[in-house]
Amino acid sequence: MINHLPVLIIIVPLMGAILCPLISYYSPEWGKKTVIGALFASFVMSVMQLVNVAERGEPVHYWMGGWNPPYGIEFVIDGVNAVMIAMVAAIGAMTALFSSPFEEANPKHRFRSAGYYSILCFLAIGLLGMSSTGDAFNLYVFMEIVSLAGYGLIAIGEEKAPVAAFRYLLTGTIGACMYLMGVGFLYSATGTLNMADMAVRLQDVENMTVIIIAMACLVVGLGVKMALFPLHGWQPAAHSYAHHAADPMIAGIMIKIPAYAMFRFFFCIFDESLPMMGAVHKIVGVMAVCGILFGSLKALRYHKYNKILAYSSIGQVGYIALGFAIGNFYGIAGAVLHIVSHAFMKTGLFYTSAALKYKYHIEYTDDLGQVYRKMPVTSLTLVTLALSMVGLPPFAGFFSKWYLALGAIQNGQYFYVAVLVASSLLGAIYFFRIFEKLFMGEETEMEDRYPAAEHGGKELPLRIMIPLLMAAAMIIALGLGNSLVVDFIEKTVLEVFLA
Amino acid sequence: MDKVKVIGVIVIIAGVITAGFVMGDFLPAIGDINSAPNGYLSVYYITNALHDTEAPNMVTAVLADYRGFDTLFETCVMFLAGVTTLMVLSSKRKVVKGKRNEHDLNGVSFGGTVLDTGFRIIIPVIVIYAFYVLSHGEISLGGGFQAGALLAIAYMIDRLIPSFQNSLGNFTEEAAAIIAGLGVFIYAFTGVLPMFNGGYFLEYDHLPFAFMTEEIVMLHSVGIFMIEAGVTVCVMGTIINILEVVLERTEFDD
Amino acid sequence: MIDVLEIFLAEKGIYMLTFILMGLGIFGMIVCGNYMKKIICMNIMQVAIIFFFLTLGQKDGGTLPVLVHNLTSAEEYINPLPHALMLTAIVVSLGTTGVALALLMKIKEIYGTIEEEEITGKRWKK
Repeated sequence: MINHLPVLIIIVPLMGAILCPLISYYSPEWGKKTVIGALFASFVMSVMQLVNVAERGEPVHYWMGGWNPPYGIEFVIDGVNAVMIAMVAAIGAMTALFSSPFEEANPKHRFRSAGYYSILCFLAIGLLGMSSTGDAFNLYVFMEIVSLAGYGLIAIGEEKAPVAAFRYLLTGTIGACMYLMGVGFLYSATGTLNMADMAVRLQDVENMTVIIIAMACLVVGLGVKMALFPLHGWQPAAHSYAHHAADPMIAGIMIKIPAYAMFRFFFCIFDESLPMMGAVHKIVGVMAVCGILFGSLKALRYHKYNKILAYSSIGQVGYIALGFAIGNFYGIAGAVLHIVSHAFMKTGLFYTSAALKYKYHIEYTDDLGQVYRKMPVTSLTLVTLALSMVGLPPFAGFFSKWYLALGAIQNGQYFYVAVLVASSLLGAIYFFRIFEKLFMGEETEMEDRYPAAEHGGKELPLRIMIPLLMAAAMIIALGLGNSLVVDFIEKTVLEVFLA
Repeated sequence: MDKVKVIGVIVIIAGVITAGFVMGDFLPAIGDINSAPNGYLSVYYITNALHDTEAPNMVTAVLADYRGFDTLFETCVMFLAGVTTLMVLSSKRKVVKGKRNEHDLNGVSFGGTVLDTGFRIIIPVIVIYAFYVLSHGEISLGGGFQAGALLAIAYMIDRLIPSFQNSLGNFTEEAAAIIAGLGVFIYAFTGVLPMFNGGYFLEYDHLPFAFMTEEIVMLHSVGIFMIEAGVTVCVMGTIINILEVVLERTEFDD
Repeated sequence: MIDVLEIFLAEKGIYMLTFILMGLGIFGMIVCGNYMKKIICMNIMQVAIIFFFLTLGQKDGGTLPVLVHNLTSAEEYINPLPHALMLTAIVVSLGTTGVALALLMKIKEIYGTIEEEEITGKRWKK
């Protein structure tokens, strides 16, 4: 059993996702429960795998079909992606639980909740696969699963959603094709698709042109998927109009795992000593700085809660890319920590957004006045997560920025430190504006769709409140235990990424 | 606008050719036997495919055996596309369910009596051919996707010609999606079976059918056939699913 | 000069055609205002990638990668790996196109048009 964990983490949700339509045909309620149960099982197994990897102290390899690596597909689980997998599985399970009040069984469309849960589960499967795989082409297949699930979940959202989804589809396909092109160039130079093997064989390649072209294709392809600054065009609309309950997952982790894949490619496959690596780091650094400033400034302009969060995501992805550009131990550790902490922060903030819509249908921050009296748990979560986004000390957001700043100082790149500080201040402005509305704004009359009096004094269903509180708790836990996470990934980062 | 397009096209063509010419030798020459992609993995696949997997068709050997895990998720992509189409288009129905069949004019044919009869004869042939393609996939050209598409075409002809009155039965789009899901399930289940028998995921050597065959390597044929059958069912279900969704949705003018 | 060009075309010519096809696909997706045309351009781009991979697997004098009894050496067959990869890529592009067409139907129902200018209300270029 313990040997099979890497693949079981993916196969168990897959079984749930493909049997969900069949089960829902007889009972939609049980269809939902299948998917939620499968994702929770996957989460439990991912934690077991995390412990297993920590105990063994070396990467776990799993060979699909028993073919040894360059010939077959291989899963490689090391310290860093074990953390990623646990994060994705946790958020997937939480989001599946969170969605269930939004997708109440509808006798007219029995298939609607089944289809929704199936697609949501596929989104989780794709992200889990992307983080586990050690094969460049397999990564493409999983990336397309993530994208297709993303298109579906965005398209069934609000009224403008189909156009947003369509535009994302066009841009996302360009991104995927550029990625495939990059893999094709690497294949033409090395003749292999396995990432570890590719890294070995690339050392003998003398022709630099093909490597430069491959790098450019990969930066563009993965940049589109992670919404890096000049390639972010699809992101704000897609994140603000998507299905309310699936939005947390789309905004939280769908743009993080491509960022992680970029780290894999540029630190594990390409040799650090290649002459143009410095240029690549500089280019990504410029993109990151522009993205951070652009996202933060643009977020100031909007009053729609989802839009603010979406533009702030562009800035936050910039931080991750900044860690890439810094490229020393602290930079990478900070970026990995930021991937994890920002995934929980953004997911949590979108949970609050969806909760506000569930109870009062609030879309604009102007309507937030005095909501904290009526929805204390939601407001508490919102404040915690927003303070973490700004980067106040006890929360996780501070520590990831701290490591990034340490890395930048170690490399003498003080400009990056200045950008970090400036963007934190801008973040403070737009989040404190939300706080101002929340605590000091005028109360507006709104229809209450979930009156507390009728539901035993609870402001929201438990299935919504538990994920909300979990997200806030995770942020505090990650903040207090940040050194544990960094210790955990330290060995892998030093041995695999910076070897 | 047109000017922009013309200039753009010219710039792209000229740019690519000059760039390629200037950069010179950055890709292996076409047809070079000793280039990197044609050397390393490819030689292993060509020389060992028959010995390892019992499949003379090397593309099938790579697709269904060496890289069978990719194909599982490729099948999932089909299923996912079907479900997504259903979700996007099923929020409201334009054509009331069953209305189509009522006002189908029974006497009216699709293209005259000769064509209709021709199609009537062709449908069973298509179905037989689909099974041939499915079972022959590992030996020569063919495989699950083509077989699934052929089966779906047989259904499609039957569905689209009014005078046939849906003699093959009438799937609802939900049923088609469920069938597609079952197809993926067959595939995934084939992968899970060896894990109970001490093998890796999708390791056909450990399929629990050893009593049926004389040599262990023959189990690869069984495994490949099982996953091809799963792929066939999934592709057929997905295509029917998309067809039904679109038919429920659209009112054709003619 | 003619010799150089001839060798270039023989060794790299088809690569250039696929890159041109890919460039035209992306260019078309950016320039065309009609969503249907954008989908067509998207397909052109995907086909270009498929051609690119297949060109990589080409061998002089190689035959189909289906084993024939009297041919045993690896040089006799073209490379099967790109073909297998591209079968996957074709199915993926089929799925993407299907979803794109479904979205297009939905957009047409909501807005009554599939022209980008009319949907977004912006004329970005005369």
